[in-house]
Amino acid sequence: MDIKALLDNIFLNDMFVSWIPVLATIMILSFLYRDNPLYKIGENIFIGVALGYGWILSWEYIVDPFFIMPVKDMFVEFHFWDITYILWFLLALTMFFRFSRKNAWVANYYFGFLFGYMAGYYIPIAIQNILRQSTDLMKPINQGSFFESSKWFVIIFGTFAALMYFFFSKPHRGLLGKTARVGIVVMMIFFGAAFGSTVMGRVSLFIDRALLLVEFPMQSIVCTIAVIIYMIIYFKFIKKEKLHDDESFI
Amino acid sequence: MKKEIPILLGLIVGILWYGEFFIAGMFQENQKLFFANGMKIAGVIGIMVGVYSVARQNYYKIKYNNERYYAILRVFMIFLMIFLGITSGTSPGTPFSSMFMSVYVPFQATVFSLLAFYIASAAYRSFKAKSVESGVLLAASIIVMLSKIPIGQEIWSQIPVMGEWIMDAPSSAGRRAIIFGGYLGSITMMIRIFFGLERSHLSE
Repeated sequence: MDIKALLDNIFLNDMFVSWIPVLATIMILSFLYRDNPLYKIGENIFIGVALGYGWILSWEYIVDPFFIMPVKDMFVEFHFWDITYILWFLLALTMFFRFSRKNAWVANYYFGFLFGYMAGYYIPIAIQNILRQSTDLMKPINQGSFFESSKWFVIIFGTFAALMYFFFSKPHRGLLGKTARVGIVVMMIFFGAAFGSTVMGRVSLFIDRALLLVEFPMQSIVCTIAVIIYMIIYFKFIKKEKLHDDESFI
Repeated sequence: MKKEIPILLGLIVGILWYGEFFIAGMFQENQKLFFANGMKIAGVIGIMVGVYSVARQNYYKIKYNNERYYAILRVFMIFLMIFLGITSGTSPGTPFSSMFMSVYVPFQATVFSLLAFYIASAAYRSFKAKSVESGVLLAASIIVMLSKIPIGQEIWSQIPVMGEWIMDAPSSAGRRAIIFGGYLGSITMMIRIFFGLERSHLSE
């Protein structure tokens, strides 16, 4: 049996596809009780897989097309323009000096270039975005229904009021103070809405996990019992934590 | 000289790139390509630095027995993914993509779903309507949460409409103001870097 067929048999069979996601889910959920080795094993598997996955994709989509292919082309036919690749390569290599304690300053050339580049690039982009946001604010008031028009008022005056809260060149008293206070309320609504959306997003992820456990009931029951038995053994016999004063009193 | 020349280099590059937005022409097109290639190569070397950094960290963890077995497991999983990527490719239906779907996706989804519990418990402890502002925050979050689930509609048919209005009007205004503030702050920071007033990215 060749290696490819062997890998296919291991990683593409139904056992792997059904048991591993369930086990992964229950291993991570075990953290809800307390930090434990199963959670840490799961966490490290996740980090390793994520890094390996990221590196392989980086190789495929960044390193190969932007570095390996141009270098190969350079060997086939060298152009004067290709010298810039070598210069960039040497400049970027100075990044490795950041690992040296004595010669970390050599990397300054690269970081000086990079941050200067980003500054020159980002300032016009940021100004364009501010103007674009401002343009989007300027819509006709007559949006049809009262409900839609009310949104227009709140967006225009809410944005203005929230911006006034960040205006520190004058003390927040009188009209400016009242406007700034409205601005705080507007931002609080935004924070509340953002919080609500985040919670609902996380809950929907949890529902998805629960649906996975329902989809594979046998695997879920077996894995859950195994994890519970392991945790009882671990916390009862292997890792005996000293009780805190208040717990021992109880 | 360890900082002055890099700052000068940054200033020159920044001016050239800034000018690219305003001056059209052959020189600018070549310059654009010149910097774009530079950034691509920098990205490649950045990945290499990342790989080296991860390898170095895990080497020290294994060598000095700082959670050694977890580090070994982590390195093993990295090598396994690289091995699968090299031997079978990355297209759907391969062992590499199976590892992604059966290991990466469940772990990631569960880790993030765990946050639901911690956000809820933190909110329970800290959300107290002590002032008008905190009461508004509480009310907005409850309405938005109720508006996204069927029970919200069952309680009162107008709750989804209110949730939509909050998301479209005041929430949008607050987000826009914060975006404005963020852009203005980042422009200030970039100008400081431009003129060498901000040097925290440079080593001694």
